[in-house]
Amino acid sequence: MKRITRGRITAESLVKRVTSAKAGAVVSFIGTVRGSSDGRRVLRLEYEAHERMADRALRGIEEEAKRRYVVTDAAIVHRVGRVAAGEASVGVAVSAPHRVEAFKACRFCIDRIKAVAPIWKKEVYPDGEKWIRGGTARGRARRGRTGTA
Amino acid sequence: MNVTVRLFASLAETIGTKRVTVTLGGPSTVRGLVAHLVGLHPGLKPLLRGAAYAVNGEMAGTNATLRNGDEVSLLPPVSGGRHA
Repeated sequence: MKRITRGRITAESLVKRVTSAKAGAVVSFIGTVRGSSDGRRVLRLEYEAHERMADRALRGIEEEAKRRYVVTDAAIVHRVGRVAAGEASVGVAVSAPHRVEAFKACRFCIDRIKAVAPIWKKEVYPDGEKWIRGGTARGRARRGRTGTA
Repeated sequence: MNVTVRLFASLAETIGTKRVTVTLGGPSTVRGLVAHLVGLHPGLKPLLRGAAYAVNGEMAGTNATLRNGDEVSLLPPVSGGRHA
């Protein structure tokens, strides 16, 4: 399954990918498009990614989760293109022998995606649109990746 | 030499294209390329604050040397999740 997708994301398909007899817990997270932002109505988000780098970043996060936590498997998928309010834009599923590690690892994955994956979003309002700027990319540099201006 | 530049999000909208071929007079670095682009499109400058760069899909510093045919990606800061 591709990590960067234009198709619908469902918890069911992600859970299926990580479920195994080695695990005793599966935790999934689905991020959905909120229909408002700073008091403005949001019709949809438009996501854009450097797809090859984003896929690699998401795979790296899955692998890091497996190194940091006692986890059986992890799967991440992120949508690109237009995603309407209420639809899923990102999904994470983690399986682990025990629930505590599964919750921790799932939380770790979604926090990292937000921080490092080269994926950008534009909020589209009834009367305009705006690219959402993150902080600086300094966080990435601090973790050993150069390239900040 | 020629390099292909890929732009994303607000950067692409500012110059009206996601991909552009740039001809540079001689040896150059990511920094030199960026300065060249900002010269052509001053609107990029404020948007590049906090940007990261990649050469052929690998993160690169601004001192990275460019070769003919390289693909350079200009990556604005990622959206993050302020309150997501």
